[in-house]
Amino acid sequence: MTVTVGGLDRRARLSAPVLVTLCSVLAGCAHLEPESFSQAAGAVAWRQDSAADKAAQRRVDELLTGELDADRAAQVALLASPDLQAHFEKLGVARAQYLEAAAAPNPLIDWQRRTLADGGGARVEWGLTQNLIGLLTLPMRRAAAETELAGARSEAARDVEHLALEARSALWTLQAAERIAELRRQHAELGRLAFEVAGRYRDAGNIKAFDFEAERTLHLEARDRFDAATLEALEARLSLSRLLGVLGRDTPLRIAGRLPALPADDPVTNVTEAAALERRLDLRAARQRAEASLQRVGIARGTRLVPALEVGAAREKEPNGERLSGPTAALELPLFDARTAQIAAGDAEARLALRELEAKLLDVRRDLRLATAALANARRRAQTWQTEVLPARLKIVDGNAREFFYMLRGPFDPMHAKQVAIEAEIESVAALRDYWLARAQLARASGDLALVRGEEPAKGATP
Amino acid sequence: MSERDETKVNRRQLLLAAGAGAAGAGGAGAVAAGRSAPTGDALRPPVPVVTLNGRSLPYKLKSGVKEFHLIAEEIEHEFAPGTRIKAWGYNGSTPGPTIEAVEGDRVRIYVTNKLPEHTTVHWHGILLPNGMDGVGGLNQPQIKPGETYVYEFTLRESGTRMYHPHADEMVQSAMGMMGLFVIHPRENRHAVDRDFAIMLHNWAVHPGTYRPDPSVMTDFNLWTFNGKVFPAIDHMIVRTGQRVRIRMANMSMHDHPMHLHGAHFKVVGTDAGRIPESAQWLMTTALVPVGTTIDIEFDAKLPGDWAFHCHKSHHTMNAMGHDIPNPLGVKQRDLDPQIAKHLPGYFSMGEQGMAEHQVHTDMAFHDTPENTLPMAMGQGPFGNLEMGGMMTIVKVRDGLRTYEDPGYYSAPAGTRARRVSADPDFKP
Repeated sequence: MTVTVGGLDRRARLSAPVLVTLCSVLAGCAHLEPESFSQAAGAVAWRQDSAADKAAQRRVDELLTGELDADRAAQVALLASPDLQAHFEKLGVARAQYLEAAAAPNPLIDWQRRTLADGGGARVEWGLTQNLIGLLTLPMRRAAAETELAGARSEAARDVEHLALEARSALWTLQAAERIAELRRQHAELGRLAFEVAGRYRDAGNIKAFDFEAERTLHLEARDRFDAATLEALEARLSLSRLLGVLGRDTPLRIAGRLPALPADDPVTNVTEAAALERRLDLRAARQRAEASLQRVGIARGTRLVPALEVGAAREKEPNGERLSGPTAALELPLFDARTAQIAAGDAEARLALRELEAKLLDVRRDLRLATAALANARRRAQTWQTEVLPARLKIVDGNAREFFYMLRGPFDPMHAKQVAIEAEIESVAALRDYWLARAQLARASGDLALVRGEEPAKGATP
Repeated sequence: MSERDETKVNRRQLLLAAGAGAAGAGGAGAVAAGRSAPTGDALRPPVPVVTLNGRSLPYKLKSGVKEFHLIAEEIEHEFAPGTRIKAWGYNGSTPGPTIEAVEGDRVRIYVTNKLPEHTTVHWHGILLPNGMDGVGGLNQPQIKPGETYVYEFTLRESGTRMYHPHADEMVQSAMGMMGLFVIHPRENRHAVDRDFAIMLHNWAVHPGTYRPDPSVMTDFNLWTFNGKVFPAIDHMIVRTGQRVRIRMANMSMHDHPMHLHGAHFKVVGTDAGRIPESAQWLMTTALVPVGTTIDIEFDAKLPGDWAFHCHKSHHTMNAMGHDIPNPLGVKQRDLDPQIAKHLPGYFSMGEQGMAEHQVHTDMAFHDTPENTLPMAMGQGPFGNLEMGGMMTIVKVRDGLRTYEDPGYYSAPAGTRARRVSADPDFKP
């Protein structure tokens, strides 16, 4: 199966829908052809040869020439992340296990030659037997193996989904960290300038030594916070590069400068528990694993009374030249081993899978409720800082600057007021970052990736 | 309303009330033809008082009693264009209109309280029956909101008096409740040609606020003549040779050494009446203590623009910060461009002095703060006047025909200071 995407110039926009298509394909397609990934011009590729590596590399290079936004970061990760490739290789293992389990039992040929002790000739026997139970249960075993493989595919699709979400989250974290570092730089510069101005007042003999020292401490504290913010930005950058699988490239990642603006509404109308239970891939994988267990235990139970039945044909040539032929059959009598242990193990395995599914359901409910609350909370915080606190802080700066101009206040008042306003802007950026992280959290909880796709870049949303 | 209109109304009323003829008084607002020395037989009637930026309160004559009506109320008040507050006053202004009457008059004064709290009126310095003295709780019940009280008494002496509340006085003074009460003498033995009246007051209006703060005790920021600050205060227009009286009353929390340029004056009266000539002496600065009225008189002999102001230099300024780090001598201008990256328009001031401040505020280098005035204002013919608060100009001119503002004085050639060198090492 091959998935192709339209013109290159539209890839950035189309990538996200393609990703979802692939997810559904991974989860639902009966016959997974690994090479289909390598031919995909879109978001995700299971690279299984050097040609595929090169193709992915070219696409990653293209994506990295522009500024990375959340969608592009997700695309790069899906193409370049070695973690995802490792997950795909797990899928290869699962597929092999499926092929093994879905194969019919081979017929047996037996041949015997026995010689009379007196040298009076030999008896030659040969026969062909087939495990009939194995053959009769083949469709059931095949179905169980398919279900098992579907579970593995769901897990792989979940990994794709999670990587895409993590890449977006890492990008938003980096955008915020770099913006905050820049604001910390401005904050620290104002602190340094206030300290310098204080030095001039001290040199002129116009302020007290300890007032001067107060400005020094404010300056040093501001510088320290800038240092800390710088390291956080570096950490965020390295984390993103690592996650995307592009760490070690010569050119640093170019990041879109601002977080996306706070949208007017949250697209959460479809985020119901029922929809999440239907949509979540980890849940689907757990369901499929449980179902496969049930199928396997069903086979064991169904063959309990006739655990093994072999039928065949035998021919025999007697030493005297007589030829005999006829059917053969062998039936296992479940006198001592009625598959009780096997069935018990199967039952336990199935119950285990069901209990795990039950536990998973609790996770889903918790995740969904928490993420819904986190999103509303982050929106409120972002709005508070952005539309209320920050404008008020800027008015305070303006008032201080105006009163400084009328010599109603000294120079430190407007500078300190501006520093406080910068602190408010930092909180505003952090809250907006938390909003987008909450969107990703909700997307993960609900399994609805539409929650994070194609958000518009910021247009002067933050000053 | 212009000074001329006010003069017309009050002069007529005054003359009617005094029962005196109008001979020799000249037209309304016009300068009297000449000043005749007072004689016992033909005393000139007193000229009406000119309350700078203000007016006198009209009255009705009823059976020989002059009836006035004061309405205590909240008002909108402007110190100078650009600064407005909610104040309390009488009949629409702070100070309230000047009450003018004549020694011997019987006056009946209705007081209607439209304030949110009770009030009274105390007739400062007037000798009257104890029950008319207006101390709330002591001499009378307070006048509750919506109520009207009437005061009635006979004016037994002349001079400059005041009226103000004696109820919640701290708040009501801070809010502007005060007025002048001028009692002209029945026999005008000390006639003047110009009779100005000024109420001195202080205000705590924090920049960006719109109501005086009554909790402030000493650190006031606006200093007013009749509720106005320089340069919004009327000038005193005088013809050379005229005799001038300036009545000053102080309802502020500070004493004010009032200084006149261009003339020597005598303090001729207090709020207890005329001072005997033997106790008067020449001076150029008269201290007007808190809770007092002081009358000064002088002959305007020298033409020119003569400053008249409180000699406390902070009282000839408008609002300014008193807790700011002292910028004098601080070299910091080189840092301005860096700071301006964060605070657009940032511009340090005061290294060489604060005169530059008016240049900046006049040229509006920066957005101005809300509802406050620059600390230094005023333009003269030779540049910035760099003042505010308690300051105005006595304009003495030869041959004036009206009391319209004659503009700035043009000094005759050779009578004005001039630059002779720009060399700091100049030696005469």
